[in-house]
Amino acid sequence: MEPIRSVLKEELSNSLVLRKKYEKALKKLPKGVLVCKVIKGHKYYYLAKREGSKVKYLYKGKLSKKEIEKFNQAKRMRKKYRKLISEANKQIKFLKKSIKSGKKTH
Amino acid sequence: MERKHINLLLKVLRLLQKQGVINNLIIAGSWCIYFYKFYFHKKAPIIASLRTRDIDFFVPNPKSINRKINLPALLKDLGFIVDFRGEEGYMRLLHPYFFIEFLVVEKGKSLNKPYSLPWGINAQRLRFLDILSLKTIRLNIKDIKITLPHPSCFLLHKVIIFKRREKDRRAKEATQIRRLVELLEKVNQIDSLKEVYLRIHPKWRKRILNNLRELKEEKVIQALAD
Repeated sequence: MEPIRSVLKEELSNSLVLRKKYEKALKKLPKGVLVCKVIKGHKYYYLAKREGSKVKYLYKGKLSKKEIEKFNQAKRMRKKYRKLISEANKQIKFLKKSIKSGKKTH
Repeated sequence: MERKHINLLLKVLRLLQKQGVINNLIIAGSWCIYFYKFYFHKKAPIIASLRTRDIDFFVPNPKSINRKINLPALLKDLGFIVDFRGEEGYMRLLHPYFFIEFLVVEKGKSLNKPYSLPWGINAQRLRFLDILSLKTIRLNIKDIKITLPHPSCFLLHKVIIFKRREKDRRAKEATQIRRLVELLEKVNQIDSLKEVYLRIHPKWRKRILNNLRELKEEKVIQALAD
C-alpha cells in the first residue's frame, strides 16, 4: 500500500502545482472577445468585456489581421486553460479522496 | 491508461519527429515499460507498472545538437505549461495527462545547475544515465520512430540508482525491477544482462552487485556471474 500512497501523494502535489500554473497563465491572458461591426462597409472592432453583471464594449477601431489573430489566440488559450484547470480539479479531487480512503483502510 | 493520454503522447512524439528532435532522444523512465509490450509483442508479459505522470526524454549526446527550436512554444498549443523545479531550476513541461522532462548525463564534479539545450529548454543532469544508451531498441509506432533502452539496460540502471531513491519510493522501484527480470526471462533475453553489464565501469558493476544482493535478486546475480 505504501508505494501506491507515495505515488498518489506525489501526483497530488504535481496536480496542485499544475492548477496554480494554469490559473496564473489564464490571468495573464487579455480578457474579452472581439466583436466586429460593419458600418458603411467598414469593419470596426469592439472588445466585449464582462465587468460584474454588465458587459462593456471598448472601442478598438480598425484592427490589423495580426491584432485580430492575437485576440482570437487569447480566446482559444483561455478556453483551453479553463478546460485543463477543470481536468486538474478532477484529478485533485480524485487523488485527495484516494489518499484519504487509503488511510482509512490502513 | 486512458485513450486520451496515449493520443496526447502520440501528438507530442509526432511533433518531436516533425521538428527533427526525436532522433536525439531515448525514452527513459517507467513509460519504457508501456512501450516494451509493443516491441516484444505477445511474448512480453503484461507488466502493470505503477508510474507517475513524468515522461523522461534522455538526450545522450547533447553537444551534437545544432538545430535551434522553441519547444515550450510548440508544446503550448497542446496545453503544456512550463514549470521550474528544485533548487537547480530544471524545466518541466506540465499537462494534466503527463509531464515532460529532459535528462542529460552528469559527468565529473556535480555542477548543481541544469544543462541548456538549444530547444528553449534545460535538462536535468543525472548520474548513471549512460547505461541506458549502451544498448537501445528502435520501435515504430504509427509511423513514429522512437528509441528505447533495451530492458537489460533499463533494469541495470534501475538497480544502480536504487539506493539513491527516497526510501518510500524504493518499494515501487523493487517491484519494477522484479517485473523487468520476468520480462527478460519471458523473451529469452536474460543473457543480454551480462552483455550490458560487462560494458559498465567496474566501480559501477560493484555497486550494481551490492544493490542486487540487497534486493535479493539471485536470478540476476546468477545471470551476471555465468
